[in-house]
Amino acid sequence: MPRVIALLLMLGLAAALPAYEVQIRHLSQPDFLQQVFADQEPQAGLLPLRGELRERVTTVLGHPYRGLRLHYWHTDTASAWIIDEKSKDMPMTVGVAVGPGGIVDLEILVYREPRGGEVHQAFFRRQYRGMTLNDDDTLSGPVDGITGATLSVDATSRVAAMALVLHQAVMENNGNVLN
Amino acid sequence: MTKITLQHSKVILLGMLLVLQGCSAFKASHFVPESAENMREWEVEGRFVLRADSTVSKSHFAFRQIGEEYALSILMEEPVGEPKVIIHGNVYEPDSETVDVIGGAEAMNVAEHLQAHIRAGNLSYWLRGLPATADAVVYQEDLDRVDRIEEAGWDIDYKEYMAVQNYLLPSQVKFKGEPGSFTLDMVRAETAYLTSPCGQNVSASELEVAPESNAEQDAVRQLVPTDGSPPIPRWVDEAAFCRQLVKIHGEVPDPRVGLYGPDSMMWKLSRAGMPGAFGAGRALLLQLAHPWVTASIDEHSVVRDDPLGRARRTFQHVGTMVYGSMPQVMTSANQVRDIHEEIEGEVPMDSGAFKRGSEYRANEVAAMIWVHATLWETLAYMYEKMEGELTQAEKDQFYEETKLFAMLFGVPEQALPKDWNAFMAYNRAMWASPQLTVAENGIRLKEDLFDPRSIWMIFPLWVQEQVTAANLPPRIRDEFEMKYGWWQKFNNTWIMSGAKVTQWMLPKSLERNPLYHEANARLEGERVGGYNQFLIEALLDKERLVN
Repeated sequence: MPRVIALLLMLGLAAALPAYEVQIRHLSQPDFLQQVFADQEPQAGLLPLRGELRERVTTVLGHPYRGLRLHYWHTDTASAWIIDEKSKDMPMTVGVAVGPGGIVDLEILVYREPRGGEVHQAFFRRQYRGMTLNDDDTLSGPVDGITGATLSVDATSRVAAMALVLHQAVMENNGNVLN
Repeated sequence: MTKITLQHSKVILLGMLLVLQGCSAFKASHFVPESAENMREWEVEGRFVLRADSTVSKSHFAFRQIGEEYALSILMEEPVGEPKVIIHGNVYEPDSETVDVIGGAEAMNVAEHLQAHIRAGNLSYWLRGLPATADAVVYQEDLDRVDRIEEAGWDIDYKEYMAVQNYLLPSQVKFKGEPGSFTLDMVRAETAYLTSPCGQNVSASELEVAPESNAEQDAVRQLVPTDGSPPIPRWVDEAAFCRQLVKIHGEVPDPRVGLYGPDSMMWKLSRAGMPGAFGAGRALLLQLAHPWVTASIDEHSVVRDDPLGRARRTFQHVGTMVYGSMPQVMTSANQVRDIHEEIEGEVPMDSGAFKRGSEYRANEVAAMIWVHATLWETLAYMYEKMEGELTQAEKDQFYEETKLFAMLFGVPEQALPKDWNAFMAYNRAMWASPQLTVAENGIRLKEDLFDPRSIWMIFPLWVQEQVTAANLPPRIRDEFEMKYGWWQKFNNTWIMSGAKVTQWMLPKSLERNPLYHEANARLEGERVGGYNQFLIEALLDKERLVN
């Protein structure tokens, strides 16, 4: 009998606890690619992050990128990247599309922190459109921050700059880096 | 009939609960995994069976990757232990593979059979549910999990996945192809911190341990100055935090065991579920009596909106630090530090020793020692009340073990009271010190804590409130405006008696903390049983925590 009571208590408590729902998927990868490329057929590729390119990415991010390679999608002139970057203690997933004139689109695909998710708002993301890289691999324009979301704003800017670096690398190699 | 009912009580109760609560009560969290491409240091363990060329090769294995370098260990019959063969290589240099044979021709035959059909470098990707090259054909219906990959002559079917930290990794994979079949059953995985205990922002020179003063310091007097003033703040920056982790990392002989292990007092005291559960309110209110803690929670935490979610995340980290493997412990320590780093501000009102407008931060030595002390003093106190007296030697050992826990937050050992007696002197000094002062915001948080937001929580929280009132130091109880008259004493008496009887009658497998079972399964190289996995998922909202 005590077994039954204990089990009932534990299960009752377990069932009463609601699920922890903080992580938000704002946009899926297929929807992001559809938004970027519309009816074009982008090619998928894998870009190894090694040597000079890895060093450049490390400088832009301020820390080494964890992955060894990046999936991306491209046409002759445009490329789209999906990059994870930590804001506070969890990574957010950011999609960035780059064309000849700089950043074409930036979307927060997944936000995993309980706070700071305002970077998802369009008024903030729109600031990145048209941005390119300065000679020192910084973004060409200023980004207005959001009170209470400083770390997420900084992480978004780092990802934007990283995508521009990767786009340059791919376009310079004209697709030869694909394996 | 009664006999059958009792024999199948678990199944019947689960069924009843599902019917009564509806499946919505068990809904999974909205977990959006991170891409497995981001794993830079990782390891999976499991078992493979290769059927090809009329030969069947079976073995337990561990696949470990650090950066571009991988090592596939073939363990043969034993899931844990010294590998018999290790295949080393670099993911970008397929011809670089080398084989170390450590134990026997049979293991070598298995390795050769495997190498003839599967490139170990490709396993680096396939084990994570990723294509090895851009030429692979990938079939995927769900956004976060691949269903099938066609690559290198294999049709790879991903049947099951497991959630590990922020990732979703395959747990059951079946390969079919011209040569035959290859099945992989994964038991567990590590996803970070295999070689280094901290993040990548600290340079090697910063990690060099600063010389520590050998002068005998009275840590208790530093933490609780006798004139009632607050201690001088000692902020913990990332380098100081990392230096403590490096020390711990070097002291632990077996990363699989983690900080403590089955012979530790820490596991002995925390594996009994009830002392920790009944002491939770006491520990939390002792923490809230510190104005810095109250201000931190009041201004930075989502505890008001999501008290159970906040409690779960706390238990996830504490449970991982106590029961996890070293990589899991280090993952938690780094996550907690990142969370704490953002917690800073000014004390909103005069509160005892702390003046309005004075600076507070979560990553400060004295504040962290206080939070740490409330956890372990309360656990030992409740353990002695519910399970039996501890000897001085046991208390001393337990206290030495808790020092490692404090170091996970960047607290240097010399800042801590030197032994159990000094630790208790520190606790008593704090209970009497104006450093603990309950202001209005503390009382509001206490009321939130015991506010049942669901009909299911009314009784558990009422019990928690009665037991907490009975066990708090009287001054703190009075400051929280908690009644402790004859009615509360009567309730506490029957609750504690009932708990002791239940505890005595319960089989140990039910009474013990599910994380204790999960940690033991890890040590054996097995998966934890379904009942404990259910409890971990239901109570902590994680499919697995320390395995």
